[in-house]
Amino acid sequence: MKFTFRTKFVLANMIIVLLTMVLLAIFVIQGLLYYTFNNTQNQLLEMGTESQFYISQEIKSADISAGNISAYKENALSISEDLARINNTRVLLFDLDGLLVADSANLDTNEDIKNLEEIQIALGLDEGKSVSVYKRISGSSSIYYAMPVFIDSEKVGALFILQSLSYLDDIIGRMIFLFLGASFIGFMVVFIVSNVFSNSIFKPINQLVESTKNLSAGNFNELLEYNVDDEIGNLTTNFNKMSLHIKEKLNQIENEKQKLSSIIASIEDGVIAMDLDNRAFIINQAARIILDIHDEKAGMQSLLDKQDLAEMIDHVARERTDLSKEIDYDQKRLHVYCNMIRSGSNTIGILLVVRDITKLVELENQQRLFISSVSHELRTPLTTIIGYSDLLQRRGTENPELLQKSLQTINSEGQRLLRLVSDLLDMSKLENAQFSMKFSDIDLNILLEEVISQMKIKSNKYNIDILYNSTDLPLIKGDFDRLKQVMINVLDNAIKYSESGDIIKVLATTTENFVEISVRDFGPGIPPEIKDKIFDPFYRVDEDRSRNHGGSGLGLAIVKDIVQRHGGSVFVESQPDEGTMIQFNLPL
Amino acid sequence: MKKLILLPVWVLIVIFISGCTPFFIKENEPVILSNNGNTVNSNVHISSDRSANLQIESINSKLTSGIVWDISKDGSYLLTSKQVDAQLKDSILQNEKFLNMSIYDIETGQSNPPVYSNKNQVNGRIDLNNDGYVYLETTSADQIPNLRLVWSDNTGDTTKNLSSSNESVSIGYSMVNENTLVYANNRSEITLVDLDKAIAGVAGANRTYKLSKKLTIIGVDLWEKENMAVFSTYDDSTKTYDLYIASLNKKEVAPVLIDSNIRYFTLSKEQGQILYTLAGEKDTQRLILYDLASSTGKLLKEGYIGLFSFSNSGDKLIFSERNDPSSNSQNLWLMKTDGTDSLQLASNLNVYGYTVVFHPKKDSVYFTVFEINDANTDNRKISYTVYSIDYNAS
Repeated sequence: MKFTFRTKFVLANMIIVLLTMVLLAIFVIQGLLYYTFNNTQNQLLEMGTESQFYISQEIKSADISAGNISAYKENALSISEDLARINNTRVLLFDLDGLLVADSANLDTNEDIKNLEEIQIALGLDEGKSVSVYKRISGSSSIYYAMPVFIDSEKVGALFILQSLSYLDDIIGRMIFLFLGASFIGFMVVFIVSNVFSNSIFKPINQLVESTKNLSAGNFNELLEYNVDDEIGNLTTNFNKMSLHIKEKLNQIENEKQKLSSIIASIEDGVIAMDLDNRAFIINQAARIILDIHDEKAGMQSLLDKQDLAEMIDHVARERTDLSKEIDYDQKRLHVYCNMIRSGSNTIGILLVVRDITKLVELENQQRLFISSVSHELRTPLTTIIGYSDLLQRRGTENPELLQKSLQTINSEGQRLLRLVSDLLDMSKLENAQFSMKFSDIDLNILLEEVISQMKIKSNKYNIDILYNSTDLPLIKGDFDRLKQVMINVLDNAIKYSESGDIIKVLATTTENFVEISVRDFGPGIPPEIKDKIFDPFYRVDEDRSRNHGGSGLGLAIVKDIVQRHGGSVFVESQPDEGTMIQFNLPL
Repeated sequence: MKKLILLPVWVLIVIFISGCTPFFIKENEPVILSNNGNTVNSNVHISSDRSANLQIESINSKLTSGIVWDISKDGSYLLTSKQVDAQLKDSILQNEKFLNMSIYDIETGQSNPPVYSNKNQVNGRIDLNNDGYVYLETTSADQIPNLRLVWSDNTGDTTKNLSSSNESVSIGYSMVNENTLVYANNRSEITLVDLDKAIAGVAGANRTYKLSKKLTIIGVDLWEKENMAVFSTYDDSTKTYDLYIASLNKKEVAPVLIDSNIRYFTLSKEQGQILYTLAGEKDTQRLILYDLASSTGKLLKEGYIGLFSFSNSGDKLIFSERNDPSSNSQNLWLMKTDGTDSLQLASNLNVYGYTVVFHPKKDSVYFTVFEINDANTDNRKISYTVYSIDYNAS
């Protein structure tokens, strides 16, 4: 059975009433007993003193020629009857041997009145002393009072008074009955009043209970209204304050959590925080992408199945030190940092920070390749220049033909070297964003005509014709010189890969959003597998042809870079033996 | 919660089992008590002063029958009233008795048989000078008993009316000295009687003083030294007794109120002090000693005071104390007039009247004890016995 607080309240009140009545009853009854007993005892004492005097008086007024003791015995009955009448109690007189000589009453009692211990005690007492004993016989209380009787300092016997306290027992019985009645009435009253009062007392408490339910469900907006200045009022006020405080703190926590989530989400590196059971409690989006985790549980398992990672985690947990390492993960190169998560002096988990360095590695590889290519490209003409220089030094001007050829070769290789260095510088500027573009309205018609005219001079040398068709092109925003360089490089490339007698078609059209310019040659074409590499720096489809034409291998890389800076795109279509078309789109 | 409910249940069980046994009173264990005088209600019941000693040397509970009124100056005889059977001619009531004066010789223990009178003779005073005694005699006139002051010789042969037949004498009169007595009547008059002259029948034996105020005088005495009459009156309107003093030096006597709501009084001519009782709380009486010279009163005792008397020298007093206000049973106490040295003389006796007589020459007192015979109220008879107590108070 569930005891509600209200039930406990009512029960507690009833128990208080009960205990109070019981204590009151005990206090009153015990007090009454004690007081009555002491009072009666004192009265007996007084009675005894009076009786002593009376006996002495009666004996002295009687014939005492035979002595006081004899006179006492002879008059004992009348004296005991007189004393009983005077004191309204039973009086017994005993002689010096403790034998009963007179009894004012003639009653049979359960107790052997004739042989009382109190008489023997009394007979042993001095004048002025007496003995009193409280007894309960057959449920009835009495005081047995005995004292020695002296006449002119001569002990003649003992007086015994049996003072019944049965009236007291009756009174106590009635009092108990009254207390029981009062207790019952008290119970009823307390029960009714408690129930009535508890409604008003517990109403705000019930409201508090409801509010705490709402609070636990997350609703912190509910505030209690209780405007009485008492303990419940204080509780309500404090509850409302607590509620607002919790709401504020939760908002703060939520904000902090969101900040943290945002921060973690903003980190480009993957962040995984795991507890000591290898369950992830933080995985940011970058981690999911890098590690290809879609289902958290399965993903984490597959993560831990990776030997490299598992070893790292194990090492950190064991050695209690952080660890950085590059690993291969699903065709990616990752840099992983692993450390313990501490809260105070306790370790609460493992932290993994993962960075996808695949492109970086590729870039590094490209850089290495670039440097290697540049070195190679630089070394080749330098070697030729140095070689011919040595030759001239050795053989000097003895052979004018050799001299002429050497100087010519040194010059062309030097030019080539210069072009290479210029292109490298351009590339460098492009990559370092130092390549400033000056955007202005450009008339592509003029630009294309100008470039084509200029390139025709070169193409004519190789008996290659350039055919140009265009629609009326609109003005676009661009850097005139850079776009010119683009056309030059593309045309130059087309010329490079065309044979004598071939034509190169240049077409410029306008679409809805772009200007499309394409340059088509009818050269050998590009194998499909390497088609997209032609825009990589130093990449040459035909090394020999490119070198012979003075190419640095950076031309199309520069083209791609400039077009992309203009917000455009460049792509290539080619089929082996059918030629190549390079098209670039510039936005309107 | 269960414990909370069970706790009071267990408490109740324990209490019921114990049966309200006294916790502070030890059963069957004898306790020795000492009578230190610290009794309950000591403000009502008198207790002996333990610093003083009193030894009762002898008690005579049957000295003589009758009511004792006075003792001779030499202490040789007592003036008593004895119960005599009404003669047939005087009463139609069977066993009716009259109180007639009688002389009891203490030494011989013999009483002179009273001279029969069909009138009750009470409140006697010995007239030693003239070998006689004075007493009040009831006369029934119009069913209202009147009192007449009468002088008789010791043999009862010669009697003289001291008061006039047209006055009803107040119950309380007094011997001022060996030759003078004072009495009051129903006419608000106080009369001084020269006994010699009155007995001799000489004119001018009586000197009467009229009170300036109509008062029903109950008892009167005279402080001869200052010629001041002390008297008690009954106020019919308030139903109370009042105590007055009045100087008899003037023709018109102006009573001065001493106290109201008194019961009885007695005067010590030697000391110039009055003893009287005043109604106290809870049916008790307050015994007051009033000094006439200083007009100051002092509370001596409070309790259920019955009778009280000054000793002959006036330095002691005797008084009775009832055990309860409805009881006839009284204890007799001897005390100094300053309220100290209370000594019990007698216990639980039905002391009659308002007089205790001190022997003039030794420590003995005489008083009357009555006894009611026959519980049957129709046939209830009262008998009187004179008690004597010889004591030694040191």
